[in-house]
Amino acid sequence: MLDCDSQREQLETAIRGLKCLLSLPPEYTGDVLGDVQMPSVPGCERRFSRIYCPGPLVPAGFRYQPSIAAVAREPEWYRVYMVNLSRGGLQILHHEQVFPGEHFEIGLLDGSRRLCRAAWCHYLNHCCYRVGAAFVKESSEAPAAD
Amino acid sequence: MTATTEGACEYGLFPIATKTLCDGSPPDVEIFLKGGKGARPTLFHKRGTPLDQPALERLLDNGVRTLYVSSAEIDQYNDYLLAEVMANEDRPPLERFELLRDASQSVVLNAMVSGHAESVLQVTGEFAERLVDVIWDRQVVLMDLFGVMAHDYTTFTHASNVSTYCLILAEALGIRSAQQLVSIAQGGLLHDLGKRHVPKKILNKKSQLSETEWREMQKHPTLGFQELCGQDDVDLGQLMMVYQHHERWDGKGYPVGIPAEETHLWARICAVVDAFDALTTDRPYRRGYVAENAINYLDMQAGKSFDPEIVRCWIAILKENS
Repeated sequence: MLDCDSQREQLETAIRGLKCLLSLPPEYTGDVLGDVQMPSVPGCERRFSRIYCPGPLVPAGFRYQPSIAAVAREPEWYRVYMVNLSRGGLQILHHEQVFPGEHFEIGLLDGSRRLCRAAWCHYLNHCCYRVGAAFVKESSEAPAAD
Repeated sequence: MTATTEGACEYGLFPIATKTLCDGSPPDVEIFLKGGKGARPTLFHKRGTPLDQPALERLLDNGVRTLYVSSAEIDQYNDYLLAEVMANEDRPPLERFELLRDASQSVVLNAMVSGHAESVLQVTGEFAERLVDVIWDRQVVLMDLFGVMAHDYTTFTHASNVSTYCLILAEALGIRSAQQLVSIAQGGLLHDLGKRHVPKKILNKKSQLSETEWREMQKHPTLGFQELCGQDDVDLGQLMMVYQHHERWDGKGYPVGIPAEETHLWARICAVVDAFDALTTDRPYRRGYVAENAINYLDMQAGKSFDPEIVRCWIAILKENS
């Protein structure tokens, strides 16, 4: 966990420098999250209340973990955006479809990394999918800044 | 599974198709006959003795389509099926197709209803290979084939029909690799695997589903995908047939809502024939559509629910062979 603002800024800069192929739908651009009425999502079975952060979308690092043999994934870091977060999981916006059961690592702005398992995925546009995932275990290393 | 079949399972018995025992030497297993509901199974054929062919014929005449073998002897029965029944090239291809369907019904159904993903893949893989053997190279005349497709809707007949239709359509669309065709046939068998996790009262409900029930039903592509995705010997196309066969061309399908260009070709093939079979088979609450009405429906939904090119190809196949 990072404990000073400058480190957080460095991390945010690093995350913002990650490859991002997202094309955000209009409702997700600008300071949106406080105003957007989030629709209920079929398949979402979140046990804990989620926290929406009013303001610009929060970036995070994203990297696939090998989990489904038939689905080839590059072990590359991407920048994704958080829609919401709870104790048990999160929703993100990603540029491609993530399949249920797929594992990925998420690097948060506080420097923590969490391993997640995708539960569902919904299409928003050809370069934007909303993905719901559950945390499966904790890891502590910060995302690579390269 | 029927009530009788479920009852027999209580005795450790495994259903087999009566027809597979006609002609040739019997399998080296004990074969049981089960009466009505609640009746105990009785021994019909003792291991090592000649099969009573006239008695078998009488059973068939009386509509007894299922006999039983002990679960402990199912491997011997399967060996017999492959060696004596399916590998017999003296049988006309269409007859082999029908036997394959009947013979596989209990084996595949049992695996699909209660087996682990690994055993499901094994038995569906064997079925798919043999299906490709009898259909590929036009060993079976399609017109004849359409004439013998099952129209009674059960988990197996639907899976088997979709598998057969997927194979025919994929080949017509230009897929020529035998390995891919086997994969597609197997994917067709597996496409509804996730339904085994949907409560039976929802699957068998005769009236309209409530919103909650509909949401449960809509989970089946995801549940099937999750069950199979951990297996090493399942390929991406098969997974997509399971996961994406309810996606629509216009992006209004489920579970993801992806539009046409994002959906795997095999899943688009599966979507068309899945709908066709669902429309043309009899259900407890309605008679199946005649082919012409089903064709009209598919045509109407081309470019909305379904890939229009695939629909055109399927309709052309149906018209050529009607």
